[in-house]
Amino acid sequence: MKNLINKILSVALAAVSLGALSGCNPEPEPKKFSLQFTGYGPGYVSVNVTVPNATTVAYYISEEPESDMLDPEFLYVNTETFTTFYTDGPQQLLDYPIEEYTKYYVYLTAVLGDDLSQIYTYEFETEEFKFDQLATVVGVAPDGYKMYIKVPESVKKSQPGQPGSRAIRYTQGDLMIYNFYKSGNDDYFNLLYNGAKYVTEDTMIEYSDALNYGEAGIDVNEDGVVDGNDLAMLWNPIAPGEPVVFVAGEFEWMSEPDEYKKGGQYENRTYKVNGFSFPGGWADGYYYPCVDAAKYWLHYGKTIDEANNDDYDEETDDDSTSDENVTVPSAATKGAGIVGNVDVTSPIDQYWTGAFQKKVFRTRIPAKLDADFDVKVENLRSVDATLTITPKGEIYRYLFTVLDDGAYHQMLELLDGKTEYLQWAVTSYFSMYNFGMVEMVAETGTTSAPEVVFNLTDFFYEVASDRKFHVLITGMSGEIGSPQCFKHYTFSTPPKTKTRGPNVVVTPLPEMSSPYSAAFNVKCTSVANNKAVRCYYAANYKNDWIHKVNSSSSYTYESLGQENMFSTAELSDINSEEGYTLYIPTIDGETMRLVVVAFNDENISNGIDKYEDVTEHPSVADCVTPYAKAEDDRWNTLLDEDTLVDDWTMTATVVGGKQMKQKVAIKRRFVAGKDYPTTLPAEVLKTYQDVTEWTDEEIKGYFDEFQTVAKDYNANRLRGQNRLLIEGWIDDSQGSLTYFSPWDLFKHEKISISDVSSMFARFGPKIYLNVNRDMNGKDSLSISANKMFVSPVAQWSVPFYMAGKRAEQDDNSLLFQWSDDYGNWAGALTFPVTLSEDRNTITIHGLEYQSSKDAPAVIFYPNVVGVSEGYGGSISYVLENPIISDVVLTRGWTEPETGDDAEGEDGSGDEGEGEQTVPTRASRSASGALSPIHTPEFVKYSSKSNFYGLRKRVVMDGEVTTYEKVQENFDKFRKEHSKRIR
Amino acid sequence: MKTIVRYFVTFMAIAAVLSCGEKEPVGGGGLGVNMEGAVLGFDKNVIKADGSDKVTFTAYYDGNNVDGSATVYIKNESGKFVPTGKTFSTDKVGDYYFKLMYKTNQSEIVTISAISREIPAAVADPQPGKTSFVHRTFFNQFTGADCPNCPYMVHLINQALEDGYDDKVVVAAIRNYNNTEAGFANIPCPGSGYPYLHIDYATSYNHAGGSPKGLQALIDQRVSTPAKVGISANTKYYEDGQIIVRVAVKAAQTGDYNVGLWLMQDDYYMPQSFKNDIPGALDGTWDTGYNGDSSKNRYDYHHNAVRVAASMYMGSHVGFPLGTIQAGKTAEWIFAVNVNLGTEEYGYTDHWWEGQTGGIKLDNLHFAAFVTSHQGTRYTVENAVEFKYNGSKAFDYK
Repeated sequence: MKNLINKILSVALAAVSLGALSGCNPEPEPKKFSLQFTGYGPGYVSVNVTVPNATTVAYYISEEPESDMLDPEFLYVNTETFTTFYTDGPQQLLDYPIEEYTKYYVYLTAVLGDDLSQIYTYEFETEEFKFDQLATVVGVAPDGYKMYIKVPESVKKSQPGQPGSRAIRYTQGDLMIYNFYKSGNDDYFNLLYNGAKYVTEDTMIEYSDALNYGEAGIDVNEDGVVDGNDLAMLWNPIAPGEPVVFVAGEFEWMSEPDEYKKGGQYENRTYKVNGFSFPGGWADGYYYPCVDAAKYWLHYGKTIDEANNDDYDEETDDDSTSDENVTVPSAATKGAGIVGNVDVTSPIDQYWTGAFQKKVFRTRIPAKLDADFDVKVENLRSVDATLTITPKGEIYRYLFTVLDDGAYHQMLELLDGKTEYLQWAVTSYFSMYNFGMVEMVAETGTTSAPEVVFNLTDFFYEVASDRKFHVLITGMSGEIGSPQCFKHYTFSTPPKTKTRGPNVVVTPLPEMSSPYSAAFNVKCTSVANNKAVRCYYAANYKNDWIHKVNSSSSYTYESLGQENMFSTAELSDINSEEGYTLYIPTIDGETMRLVVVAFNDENISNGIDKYEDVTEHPSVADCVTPYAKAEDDRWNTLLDEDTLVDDWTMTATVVGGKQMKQKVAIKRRFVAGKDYPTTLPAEVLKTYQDVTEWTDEEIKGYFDEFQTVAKDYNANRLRGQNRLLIEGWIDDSQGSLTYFSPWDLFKHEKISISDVSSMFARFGPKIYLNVNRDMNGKDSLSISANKMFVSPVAQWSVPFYMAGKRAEQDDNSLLFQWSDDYGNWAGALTFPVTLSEDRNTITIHGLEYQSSKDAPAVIFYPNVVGVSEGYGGSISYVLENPIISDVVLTRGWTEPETGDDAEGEDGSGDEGEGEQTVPTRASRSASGALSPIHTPEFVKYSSKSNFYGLRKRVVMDGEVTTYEKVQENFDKFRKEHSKRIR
Repeated sequence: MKTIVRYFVTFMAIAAVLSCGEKEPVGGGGLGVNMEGAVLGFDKNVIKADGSDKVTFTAYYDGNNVDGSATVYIKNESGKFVPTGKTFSTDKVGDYYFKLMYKTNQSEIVTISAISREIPAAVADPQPGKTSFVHRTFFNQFTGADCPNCPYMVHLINQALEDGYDDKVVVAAIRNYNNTEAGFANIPCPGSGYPYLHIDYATSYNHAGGSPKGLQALIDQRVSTPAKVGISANTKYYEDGQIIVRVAVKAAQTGDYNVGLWLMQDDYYMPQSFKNDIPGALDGTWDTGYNGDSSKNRYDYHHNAVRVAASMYMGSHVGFPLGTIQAGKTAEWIFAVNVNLGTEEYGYTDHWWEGQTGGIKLDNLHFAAFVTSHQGTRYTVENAVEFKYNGSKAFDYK
């Protein structure tokens, strides 16, 4: 009774409530789910649905009645076929292969909130499926479609693989890709390069995400059988609403000339039949399009013979034309087939004599999502703006891109000018690759994609001023890409207001420089109205600048000068009254050139490249560093008397066991007239008159400068640093270690060194014999492989450095320096040198090295190593004369009687083994690995570059979308696809 | 002493891809599990096929217990899922498949195996009254043969594990930079790039150019805290490739713990790209030879490659729930791992060019067992141990 009363009360309350509601503004009756089966066809069952919102249905199709499936939950748990309907109206169930002459039982239930609907059932028995077209779209889904190919009887009757036999080749792609490849290629070309997809029997082809695994195939049903569809390889996933172009055409069997078959040298060439080009190296196959070739070529105003003799691609040799051994197909005279959907803009379509059809259609168009985006453009300037994209509504994922007007119209052209395709285009694979599409998705645990804020400068390499930009955004509510909303937003950058970049003055500060550090002041002098907002620099030796810039037209001061970016703090100093003082590590007595490239807020640079003589540009300056001086003067008997100054015979064993000898000279200074004259010789004057535009006074002034630097060198580079100079080194190659003194370089007609300081830094080969003094005042000798603080052994061509090489003949491991545990420079190598008591023998010993504290010591012998810069800045080390022994100098030199001064007396190479003891070999363990040396070319002064002022590039993966960049992307895309098309 | 014994079995072919899991939430402070939707919980994954041993299921929806309104389904002999009860026992050896239906939500399929094999004996506790265990940290090194900077990370870890640090760490290499490797492990990388080192599911480290001492400091930081649990294990290998592993977890601190077991392979061959970028590799100043053989390169031979991960629970590899273990008490899990040695000794799935066959060497296999604890849905590793595929491991006391 109590229950009954409660029920009555409830009904009464409900009635009151209903009356109250109906008396106000009645809510429309929400739509209810309903479904009717309306028919079937090959590969599908059709339904007509009404859905309140996106509704998933579970269905089960069987060839036998199954009473268990009348229970909605049983069906739901046991079926593997589901689909979601987003819109009302006719739809298809595509996940079951409906075939001819079969009876089917369909069971279906819909997920309605927490409940399952009643079971909907449908029974039918199929008959013959009739098709009257070569290609028929059977059904479409958001991620694919089914296409039925009806093969003409004439094709079915031909003998597969025999001359004269036919097949239907087919291919498909989205509209953008189709139009992209269409340029210059007719449909026969697309069909030829379709991954060898063809059929000779009526076939249902299905494209979908699940089957999108190419030739390898996958086990879709996890039943142990690979059922990935080799017939329907999809390189690019299909997106909802995709405009698809499907092309099918009849091709005839064609043999390939023997010399073009696989594996031959002709593999990469093409050959021609009736004017059509075919790639060599393919097996025989259905390659010849059933086209009236004579009419086709006439369309282009050519006969077949003329078409055959057309030029080939660049990669094809002229002599590769051949139709010998080719079975010329008969297609031109046969014919009969189903021809439909001819594209008159594609000439060959008109001349197919076999079956041909082109279908253009769209995959299931996503439902409209009731959501939108706010796009906010702030800080709009000629070269930048800040954009904010804010999703409004339940948007799980969105994709967007920003295009300049040129790129936008390029996209539109690929879409046949149809703006209604833009929504899909943003989601396409093609856009992801070519138009810089960016994806934003809800984070795990959330349902709404986040807002994104970015600067145009994050998105573009360079933002164009006075340019219209398009923001294209497609949003979707769920992970499966439907329903969707779309936004197209435009704005324009204003024109620039300035005509020139900031004025930045670089001033050398010799008074603040040290032997190993060149100081410069960098100051912007136009802060008031043209401030520097971005500033880069690069520093290198003057000589290297000149050679680098002259080596290639792609190198300019402005391009090379952007190696390092000044930090925000440094930039602030540059724009201050005092400017910023920059110290560049260098070596003593060298000319260091600093180049600063600065940009203003409109991205206009200081225009260094506009100056014919860049040294006149205020942002370029040179600083010559003074020679270093030793802290103490060890000028004792080893050096002050000319006890070692003499000609010597240098002897060493090189790889192969050969004994090498070389005349070398030990000097303590360049004073004698034989080193350089004290007055300018007439022939040198003439050389300079011939190769420069200098006046005689200027030439003489340059010679005076040479003398001044030479005196400085004598006093400071040698004596000032307690050194003797060894001129020359064993040269076993093509004279690349021929000795050139500074004077040789000064007077040389061809070797060009930029300045006198550089001549004294780069002459050689030169080895410095250092005098060391221990705490007891005892002196000893050594030579070092110091790359950090000593100029190269020689660099009148490529740079050469001293390094250690292991004794094993075939082991070219090199040791350039000591490193710490982290691979950082930890000191120069020192090769110990011993002097015999009679001072007639000097021995340069190898040094011991342990790769780790427990590893056995190995000996590295002194060698001179060339550095070769390769493509892309890579470097390699060239051993000119791999020495695998101590190097011994004996006083005096006897000119060899024969021209072969390189051969030892017996050539055995074992001379001197065991004769020397090495009392003070340097020994040091290094547990860490050694770093390779840096390239001497354009060393990046990373220690000076903090990078914290660098633009943040966190959100964008694409970074494309100017017209030019899109062209670049197209090239890459084309190359990548070219790998796939066979 | 009360001992909780639970069983887990996995029948993952060693040459096959590991089971798929949802990519777990990324972030510091532990590995997340997915409690969303319908989840079929279980207290055992393997039962004795004796007709009485049983598994008990628990129904969850969005993390809440919905036992009263959900239905468990079992796959019958005709391949259809039919309703069954919340417990299951059988006297027939085999694999059984279950899923949960709650309203219109279905869970992932859960596999329960019934076995009749002998389970190895528990390893004797050398000091039953003690709970001060050696604490080891669990390195998950996400890597791959085509990964540009991964050799640096290998180099860094190798250097960091010198000077006795190798005994403070259990390293598991998860090779999934490129999916062409035979040893591809489908354990989601929690980072956005490779190489990536996930330490104890708690700390992220992706600085391949870091210093060994820095990494050692990180190890010290992890293991300096007292271990909350100790782990012992015993194994029994059967000729058909099945390994039964009994893992015992003893708590030093009362808490909820999960346990996982990974099978790993040493000497896994796969030519490594970018190996010459290791400092000193190119100029020969760093010995890249392998086991004294200079014709081989040490970076082509990979160790600790995870081949089976028996730890997937609620969508993440957090291990299986042991429930609450009181301090001083022990809980156990029994794992059964099926190993298919196959013919692929080499990392390439397609290595015909090598002309090599032979299968994985048993001796190259070893296990890592690890224990996690959780705060809400975030799990972190508390301790880990290593042992041979046929070996045993006693509780390791300080």
